[in-house]
Amino acid sequence: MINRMSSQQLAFLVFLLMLGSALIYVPESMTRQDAWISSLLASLVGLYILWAILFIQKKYPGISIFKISEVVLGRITGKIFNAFYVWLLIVVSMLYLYDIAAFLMLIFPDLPYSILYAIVLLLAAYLLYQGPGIIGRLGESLVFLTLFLVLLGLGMTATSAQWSNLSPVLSDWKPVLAGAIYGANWPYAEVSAFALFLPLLNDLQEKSHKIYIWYLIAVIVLVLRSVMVIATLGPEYTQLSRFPLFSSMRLVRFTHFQRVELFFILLWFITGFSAIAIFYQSLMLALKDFFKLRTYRPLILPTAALLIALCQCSFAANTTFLQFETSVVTFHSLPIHLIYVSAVLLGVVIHPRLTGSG
Amino acid sequence: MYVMRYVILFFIALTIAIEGRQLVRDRDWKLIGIVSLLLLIAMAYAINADYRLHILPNVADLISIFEPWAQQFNQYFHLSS
Repeated sequence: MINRMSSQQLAFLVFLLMLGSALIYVPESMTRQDAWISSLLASLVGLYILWAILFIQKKYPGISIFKISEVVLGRITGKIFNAFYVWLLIVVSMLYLYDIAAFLMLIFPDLPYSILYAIVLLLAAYLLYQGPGIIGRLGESLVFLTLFLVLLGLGMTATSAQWSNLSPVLSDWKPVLAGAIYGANWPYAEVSAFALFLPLLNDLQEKSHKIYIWYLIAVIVLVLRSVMVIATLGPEYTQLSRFPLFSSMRLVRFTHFQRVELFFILLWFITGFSAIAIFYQSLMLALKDFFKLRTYRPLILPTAALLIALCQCSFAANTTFLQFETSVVTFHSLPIHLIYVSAVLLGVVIHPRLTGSG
Repeated sequence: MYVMRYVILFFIALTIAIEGRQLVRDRDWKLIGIVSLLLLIAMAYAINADYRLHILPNVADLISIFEPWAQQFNQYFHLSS
């Protein structure tokens, strides 16, 4: 197993996770033409979480956030907080798994969801067996291809954009604020999952700025995505569409050359798969620390089986899922992301320095 | 189509094939217990899904307790859902 990774590799993973499935879904679409402003505001929440987890880790290098929380919050309180966080990782992994399976359904409409879940998780499990360092290398090898495809795709949608769809700007601040809260949960707050990767970094103290840089690149891409999708599809159709970015690319035509969106299936798969692989890896690291195990290796396949079974039982109707994922899940997940990280941060600030190694 | 339980059985077989020997050799009972528990829960949910029993708690239903909050929030912030 390759257990170490560099800050650069983690920075690439931050970029891939932020794009994740949010790239094609546009979670802030309910704010209509102001979705891009919501996306920009929402990114501040992710920036706070990223700063907090990096601050905690720099104070206690090499020690897992689960151990830190048990020391600074007390053993029982820390365990309860950690249990909530493990639950959150399970829920978010399930959501990402369903997202990618729902998208693959467009290509393999006759396959049952359970088979699609199994294929995706077996692929991710193979990576996990190689160790977290391999996910870092995956990020390194995919990030520039992803960036190229995203910029190419967004550039192409610009050819069919109607810029008048973006006005009036900020006609009502209330929906923008609400959209920012929904966008904060998905995808920005999910950056907290990297708290479990940070002890594996070998150059965090010197090169943590790279993580911020790639986070900001992801924010720019997501804001551009919102602008392009709204400008191309219009606010109403963006809200109605299951995969707004995919739909906007369908409108792109170069003379007789159509169905351009098919070139970007690779992009959707890379970002969607990276997100599930990162969360699956975080869940494994979390279970290892939570149960104080010497290795998480034997848990890889049983956890995959559990995620598949839970997904199959929980998410049945594709039509109501997006509404559930963007709005209802926010009230469950965003508080856990924020409270968990903030509580540990507060504990670290007021607690004397930890001694001993993790 | 009773596909789910076969998918989970496949994962159980794969776990035993890849990890079974090492787990037994190490006699790490805590790890064996956690692996067995995860597989047992997965199998229970698979049977629940295949036979549409609706006995076990559903994650989406658990999270849906926040739905009234979401509705009030959307109403207050003039969101069209």
